[in-house]
Amino acid sequence: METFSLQNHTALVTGSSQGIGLAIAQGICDSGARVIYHGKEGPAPEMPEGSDWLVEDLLDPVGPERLVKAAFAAQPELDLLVCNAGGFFDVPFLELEPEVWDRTMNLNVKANYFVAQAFARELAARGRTGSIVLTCSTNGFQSEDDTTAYDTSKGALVMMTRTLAHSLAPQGIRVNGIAPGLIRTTLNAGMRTAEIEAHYNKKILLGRLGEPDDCAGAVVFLLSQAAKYITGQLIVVDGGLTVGQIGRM
Amino acid sequence: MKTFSLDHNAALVTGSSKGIGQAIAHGLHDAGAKVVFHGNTSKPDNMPAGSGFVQGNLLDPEAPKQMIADAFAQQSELNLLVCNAGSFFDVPFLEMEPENWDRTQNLNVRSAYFTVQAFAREMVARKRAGSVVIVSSTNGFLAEEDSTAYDTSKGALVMMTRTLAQALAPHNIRVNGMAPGLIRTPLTAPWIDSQDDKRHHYEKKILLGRIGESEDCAGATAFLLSPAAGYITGQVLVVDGGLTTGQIGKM
Repeated sequence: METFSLQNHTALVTGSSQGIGLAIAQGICDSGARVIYHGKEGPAPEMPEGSDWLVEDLLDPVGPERLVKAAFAAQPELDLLVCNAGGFFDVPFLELEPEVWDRTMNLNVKANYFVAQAFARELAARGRTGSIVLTCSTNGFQSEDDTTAYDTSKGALVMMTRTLAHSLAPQGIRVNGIAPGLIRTTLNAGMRTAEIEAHYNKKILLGRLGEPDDCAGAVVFLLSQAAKYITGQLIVVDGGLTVGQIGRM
Repeated sequence: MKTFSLDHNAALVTGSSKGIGQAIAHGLHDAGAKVVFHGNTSKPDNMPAGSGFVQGNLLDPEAPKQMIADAFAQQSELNLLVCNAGSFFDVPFLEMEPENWDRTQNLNVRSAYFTVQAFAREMVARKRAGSVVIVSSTNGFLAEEDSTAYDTSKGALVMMTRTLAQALAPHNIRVNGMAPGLIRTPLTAPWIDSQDDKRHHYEKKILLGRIGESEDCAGATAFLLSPAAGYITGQVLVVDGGLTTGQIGKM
């Protein structure tokens, strides 16, 4: 069996100033890789020594290419990418304005597409193989209340995982996804009342909400040589939230 | 992040005398687990030192229970299970006889079900948490020529993964699946190697451009059994080099 170690690799993790991205970046560091952290604004999070920190607004149409160029300038050996940046801006469907739709799709879908493209162009120019993980969501295949734009964007990412795996296989770049379920982050802090948490815990087979760190193992595995015959796949990290039809009463 | 290591764990891998099961068993050993091998007939010859071996014909209705009892007798710390044993007995659909159908379903589905049940009963009696991986196949969701009974049995295993995840979650036993695509094994090698045109046809459909090796399946299984996958249950991880990702292969 090939190793789970990421030694002698370098990864860019977008949206890693907090939450799931931060935990993924830490897990990748723990596995031996050098990591470039990225956030929309400062200050930098606590990072292991030797890490880099880049600030870029991915809603800026030239943001993706600028971020990837800056990342290769900081660490020319870069060969791993985690497209994790995303946001939630939904309001009820009948009230949703085009600008909220555009912001959701531009950040969650378009920015990731062009970050992956800029990264793959750099790898192609260097004749280097690599591996990409896209952070999708269980909302990419099961809907929730008042999350129409977010759900649609995550569904797009699920299919993007497959179509980029297809396009980049000839270049020796594997592309896979993770789909977190309900994970305790600041993104969803507003909706997580005690009542809602109890309701979710009855639907989640493992009986608890996830923590950001629960997502790190799946990403590290997919990036590693232990997953070298895996491409186009999605690992769902949801404690069983989407496995059963209906939760406990 | 929790560890990928399987140190201080012990695993039974059914159908591990050759092929994918054997590669998984070696992978779990590499990851630090003690391993109990299982085969229908003879012991594999290159088991790591300290490994156990249990023999049993899983087509015998009593065999799953007996195999689990033997495995716990050899390795009382057992807490991981890989249900890998299975085979292929298909003929074209219109010629399929009930006995071939029964043999396929009994080996691939029924024996896996009762192996997990016997394992889980032991675990519950010992109040021990654990983890199970069920080896299904990409044939569990996409069909192939002349493999109707096999495809149906593997589809059953995909759903069994989810329903046993639900049944065993209250006992702190995670259940996940691993679905290999076309892998070169003693089961498939004669088929692959006797038909160059078919091999090329598959290589053109597989995004990574090659038929898998048994060892390609070990990492996914070790990961799913490990603490690093502690919040993952009911999932099926596909190890197919992208065989089932695109709609149609290269011309």
